[in-house]
Amino acid sequence: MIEWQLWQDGPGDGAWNMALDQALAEAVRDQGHPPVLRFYRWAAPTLSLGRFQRPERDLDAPRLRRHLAEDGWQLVRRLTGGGALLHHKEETYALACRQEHLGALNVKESYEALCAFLIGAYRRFGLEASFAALSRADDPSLGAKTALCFAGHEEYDVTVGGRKLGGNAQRRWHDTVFQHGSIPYEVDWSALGALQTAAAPPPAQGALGLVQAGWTGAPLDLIEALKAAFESSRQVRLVPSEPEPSLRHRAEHLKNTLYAQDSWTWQGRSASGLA
Amino acid sequence: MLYYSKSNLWIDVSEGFARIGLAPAAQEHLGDVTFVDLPPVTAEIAREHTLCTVESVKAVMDLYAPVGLKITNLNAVLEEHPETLNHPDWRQAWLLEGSLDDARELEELMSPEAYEAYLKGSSA
Repeated sequence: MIEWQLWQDGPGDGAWNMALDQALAEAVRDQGHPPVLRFYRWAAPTLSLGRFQRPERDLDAPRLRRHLAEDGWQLVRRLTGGGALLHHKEETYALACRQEHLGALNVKESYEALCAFLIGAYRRFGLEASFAALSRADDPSLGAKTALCFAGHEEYDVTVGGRKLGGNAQRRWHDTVFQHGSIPYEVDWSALGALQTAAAPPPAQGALGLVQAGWTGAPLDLIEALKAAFESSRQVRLVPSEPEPSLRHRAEHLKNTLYAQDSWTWQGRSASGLA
Repeated sequence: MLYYSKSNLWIDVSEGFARIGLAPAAQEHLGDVTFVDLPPVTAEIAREHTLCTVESVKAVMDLYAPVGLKITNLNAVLEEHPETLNHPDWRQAWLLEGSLDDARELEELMSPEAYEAYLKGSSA
């Protein structure tokens, strides 16, 4: 049985969380690092932008700046695509592996295969979890692009009771697959929905968090369920581990030179060519 | 003359210039394209280096240059309509054009017949 490393980090600031994700992906891509499943949290409410999003165009930027200045929010840009996500009361996962760990799957198929553990974990708590392709098959908005991740539905989004729960996105280089995603306890639409521009009102049935879906467990129970579901769905064994010092050093460098830089966060420009 | 790469890009070569686009197998692999980040005109890209980055519905993916080239023209339609890369007529699904660094690199690519056999072998 293939072994994956399991990293469980405490809360980190936004730039560090994204930098460690990229350092992990690079290690798997460039150095043959074993596959990793990582869980982490956020030290402050953090809005993460998709790789090619333009906050000045896609979001209510003045309102966003107020949240950053007055409410202690942080802003980061992900290495993955998709819409903006507010990370606050949630668990977040990241995983990196080689294509050989998944088999010959295209993007959608691999996404379905990797997200299966989320559905498996939610079902362990009795939640009615499935992919949107099944729960919202008749929804004409399925697949529509939205500025906020939680406002849209794609075929392989995870839903509970037909409503989206969390967001997930992939980055690929050659045969390396990286994916990360959010597992929210609660989604605060009042703050998040207000960031949409006037032309894009929130859908009538927006996203929800685990608590809003009726989940009443403890965070530790959730992590244990996620780990068990991952081992079951991927037929692998998770081995507790942690980032090597060289990988942490690389993450510090990426944080300082890329993810903590306004030119990257606001414009998506990488002066250092790191992303 | 038309060539294909193992990464499912087509390369249409004429008089030292190449137009590069997505073959149907690449379209299928990527899914619905939502954004394309192309290199600047005049950029010089070596074979196997990142040619462009494509965002589809669930993934951001680098595409790699099947041959070394100096970029001379971009498909301007993609800026407003990246979904053109999903066009059922593969000739419409082109990314950019450039002058070839070294025509001998074409020898590493496949003819349409060889590519068809490669696809059959991959799916067998």
